[in-house]
Amino acid sequence: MRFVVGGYKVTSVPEPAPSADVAKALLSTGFGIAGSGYSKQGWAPELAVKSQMEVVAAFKAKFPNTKKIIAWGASEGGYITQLLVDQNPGTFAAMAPLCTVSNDIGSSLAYATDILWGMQTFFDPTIVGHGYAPGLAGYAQAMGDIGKIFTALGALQAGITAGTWPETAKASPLASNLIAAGIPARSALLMVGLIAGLPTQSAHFDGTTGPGDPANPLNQDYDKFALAISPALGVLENVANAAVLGIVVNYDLEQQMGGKILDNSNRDYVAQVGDAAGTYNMALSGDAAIAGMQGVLKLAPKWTADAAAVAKLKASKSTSGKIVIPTVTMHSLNDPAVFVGNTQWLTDQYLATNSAKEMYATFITAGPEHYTQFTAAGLPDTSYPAPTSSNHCNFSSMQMLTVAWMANYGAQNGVLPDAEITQFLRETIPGFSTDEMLETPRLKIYG
Amino acid sequence: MSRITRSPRLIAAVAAVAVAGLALATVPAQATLRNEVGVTSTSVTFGITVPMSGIAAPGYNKLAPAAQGYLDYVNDNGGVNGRKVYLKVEDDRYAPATAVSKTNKLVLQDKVFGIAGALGTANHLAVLKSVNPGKRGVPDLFVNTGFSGFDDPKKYPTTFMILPSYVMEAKIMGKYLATKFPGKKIGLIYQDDDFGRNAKTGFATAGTKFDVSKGYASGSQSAATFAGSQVKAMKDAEVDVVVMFGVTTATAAALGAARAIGYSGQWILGSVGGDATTLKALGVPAALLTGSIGASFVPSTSDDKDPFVAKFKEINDKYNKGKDKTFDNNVFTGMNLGYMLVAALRAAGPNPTRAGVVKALETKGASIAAPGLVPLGYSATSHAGYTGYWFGKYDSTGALIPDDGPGKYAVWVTDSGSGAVTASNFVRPAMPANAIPNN
Repeated sequence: MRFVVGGYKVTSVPEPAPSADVAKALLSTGFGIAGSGYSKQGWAPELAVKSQMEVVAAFKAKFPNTKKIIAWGASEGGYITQLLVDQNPGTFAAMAPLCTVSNDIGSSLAYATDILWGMQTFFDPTIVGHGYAPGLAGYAQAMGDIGKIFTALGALQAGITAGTWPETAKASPLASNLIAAGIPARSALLMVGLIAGLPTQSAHFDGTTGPGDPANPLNQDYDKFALAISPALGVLENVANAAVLGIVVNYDLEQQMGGKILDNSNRDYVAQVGDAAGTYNMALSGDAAIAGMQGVLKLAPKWTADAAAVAKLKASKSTSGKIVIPTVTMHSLNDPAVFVGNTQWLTDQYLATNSAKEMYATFITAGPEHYTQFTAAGLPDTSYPAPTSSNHCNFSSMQMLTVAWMANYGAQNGVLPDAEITQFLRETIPGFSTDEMLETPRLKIYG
Repeated sequence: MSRITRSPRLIAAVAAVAVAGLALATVPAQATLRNEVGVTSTSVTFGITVPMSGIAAPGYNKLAPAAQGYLDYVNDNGGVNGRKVYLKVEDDRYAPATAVSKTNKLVLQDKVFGIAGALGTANHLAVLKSVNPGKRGVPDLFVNTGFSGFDDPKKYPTTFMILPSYVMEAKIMGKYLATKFPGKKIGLIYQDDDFGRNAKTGFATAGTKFDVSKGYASGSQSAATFAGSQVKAMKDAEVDVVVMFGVTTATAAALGAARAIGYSGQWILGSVGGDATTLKALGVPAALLTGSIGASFVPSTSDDKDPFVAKFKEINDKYNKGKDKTFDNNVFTGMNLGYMLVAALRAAGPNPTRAGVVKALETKGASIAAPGLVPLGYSATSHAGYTGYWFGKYDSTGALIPDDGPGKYAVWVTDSGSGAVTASNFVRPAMPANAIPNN
C-alpha cells in the first residue's frame, strides 16, 4: 500500500487531502491517506510533526503491508512536511510541500513586517503592529489592528479612483506631506505592496484590467484604470489577506517567544522596491511621487525586535532545504499569503547541489490573464470565486493529482520522472506555467 | 532536435491523471523542447509586442503592420536565403504586465526565433526582468524605445536598440539649444519616469540649464491639466523656447493647452512625441504644429527624393495591410524594423541561429546599409542603435523640413555617455537594389 500523510485545517481538523474529489481519486487508485490535528492553532510545527509521526505509527500498525509513505501539505503544512522529512530520515519515500513556507518563519515575518509597518506609516499611526501585550490584552490589540487595517483598506477601496486618503492617515505628519503634495493614496498603497514584494494580482483582481469594453476606442477609462489603478487594487486585496495573517502569526509568535520579533531597522526600502518603481511608475504617479514616498520610507521610525525573543525564534527548527528524497513542489506565482519566493528558495537549494538525479520538480501555477470583473456601475466586483491557480493554495484537482502522481512515481522509483515528462505535464495540465526555466521572484529578505 | 514521444512512462503519467476521473487537455503527439526554435527550412518567425489598442495605440499601432508589409515584400522577392520571414503580433495595450505575458506567449508557446521591435520603456524593463531573453538566448532585436539602459550587453546580452537613446537625443538637443537660442529663456516638460529621467541626464551632460522644468506623471496628461500646470508655468515665466519630452498624447495635450491659454513660445518636440500624423489624428491642427521644431534620425517622410522614402512608400502602398497606412514616421520606423530584421538574418548566414544573429550584429551590424541618416553603434561592447539626429521645422502640411532646406540634413552624433556632440560626416551607404539588404 502507498500511504500519503497530510496535514490539518486551521480548525485543527485533520485534512489529509485538499478536497473530497482529490481524496476520492487517491483512494480509488490504491492510495491510503491520513492526517492529524493537534491541540494548538497557529504556528506550532513541532506539535504537528509529533502528531504526524503518531499517525504514521498508527497507520503502519494497522496496515503492516504499507510500503511507501509520501508526506505532503500546503502552506504551513508544506513547512511541516519538510520538517517531517528532515527529522525522520528513512521514513518517507517522497514529499510534496505545496504553496509552502520554507527556510524559517523569519523570512515570512519579514514581509509581514513590511506590510504592517507600511500600513501604520502611511495610513493609520494607531496600528500597533508589533509588541502586543501578553495574553488577552494583546489579543484584543491584535484584533483591534485587524479592524483598523480593514477600516483603512475600506476607505482606500472607496477612494481608489479619486486617490483619496483614509481619515486616519491625516494623523501621520509624514503621510500628511504626501496628501498635501497631491499624491494619490492608491500610489502609497501600491508602494506598501512593492516594498514587501506583494503581487499586484490578487484573488479577484488581475492588476491589468479596466472597466468597460477594451475594444471600444471611446472607452479611454479602460487603460487609465488598467495602468494607474488596477495594480493598487490587486495589492489592496492582497494586503487584506497578508496583513491579517501577519497579525495573527505575529501575535502568536510574540506570545511564544516572549517579546517583539518584527524588525525592519536595517531595511533599505528603496532597494527593496528596485526595478518595480519603473514598471509601476504610472500607478506610483511618477518619479516625483515615488521620491516623496521613498522619503517617508526613509524617515519614518522603524521597528526593532527584542534580541532575546529573536534568539529564541532562531533556535526553533528551520527547514533544511536539503532534497534527500524525490520532492515535488507547487506554488501560485501570485500567492499573496505565502510568497512564491519560498518555493524558489527550495528550488535554488536543489539547483545548488547539481544533482545528477531527477530528485526535484516544481509546478508554478498562474491564473488567467484577465479575470477582474466590474459591477454594472463600473465598480470592482469581488462577488465571484477566485479563479483556480491564483491566490493562496488554490489549486485544481487535476493539478493536485499531478503532484500526487509525480510524488508516487518518485516514491516507487527513488527518482522523479525525466525532466521531459515533467515538462510535458506542465504543458498539458491547465493552469501550469509552461516555462521550464522560470525563476519566480525571490523573497526580498531571507530569515 | 530533442523531442519526446509517447513513452510508456508518459502514457502512465497521463493514465494516472485520467484514471482519477479527470479529463485531460488534448495531448500533443510530440512536444518540442529546448531547441533552436522559430526557424524551419522555409521560414523564420519573430514576435513583437506593441499597443495595437488602447490609450497608446494611436501611431504606435502602425509599426507592426508596416514591418509586416515590408517582410511580405521581401518574402515575395525570395525571402532571406529561401526562408520567408514572419512577424507574430501581440497587443500589450502599453501595460507592463501584459507585455510580460504576451512576450511569454511568443517565446514559450509560439516559440518565435526572436523578439523584435518591442515598444515602451517600462514595458520592456519588465520583460527583461521577468522573461529575461538574455538568459534564454532569445534575440531581442531593435527595441523601439530610446532608454539608454537597454544598451548593456553584459546585463542584456541579446538586446539591441534601434532608436538613438534619449540621452543622445537630449545631449544633441542641448547643443542645438545652445547654438540656435543663446540667451533665451528655456523650459522643459518631461515625462516623470525612466524616459524623462534619461532625457534629463542627457541635458545635464550637455550643460543645458532650464529656467523652468516641469514633469508630468505618465497617464496624467490632458490639455486641461497642462493648461493649469506645466504649460501655464511656461507662460507665467515667459519662457521663449520650451522642449517637450513626452509621448505623443502628452505632446498633443501640451500644444492644445498652449493654444487654450494663449502661450506662444517656440516648441521643440522630442522625437517620441513629434509624429505629425499622429498629432493630427489626436486633434492637433496642422497650423498649431507649423513652425515647431522636431528631431529625427531617418529621412523626412516628405522627402521623396530619398531612395528609402520613395521605395518604402511604394512598398507601403502595395503591402501594408494595416487599417491606417498613411505614410509617416511610424510607418517608416516599422519598415526600418523589417529591413533591419532581414539584414540581421542575412548577416547570420544561410542557417541562422539565435546566437549567430547576436554575434553577427555585434561584428557586422554597424556596417549594415540601413535607412537611417546616422551611424549604427553596434559592436561587441555596444548594442546602441542609431547614434544621432538632425533638426527641422514642421511646415503647414506637418512635414518636417530640415533647417538647411529639403533634403539637406545636418546630422549631429554622440553617445549615451560623456562623449562630445559633433557634426557628423557620415555618408549613408547606398540603398541596396529594391531596398532589400544584400549584406
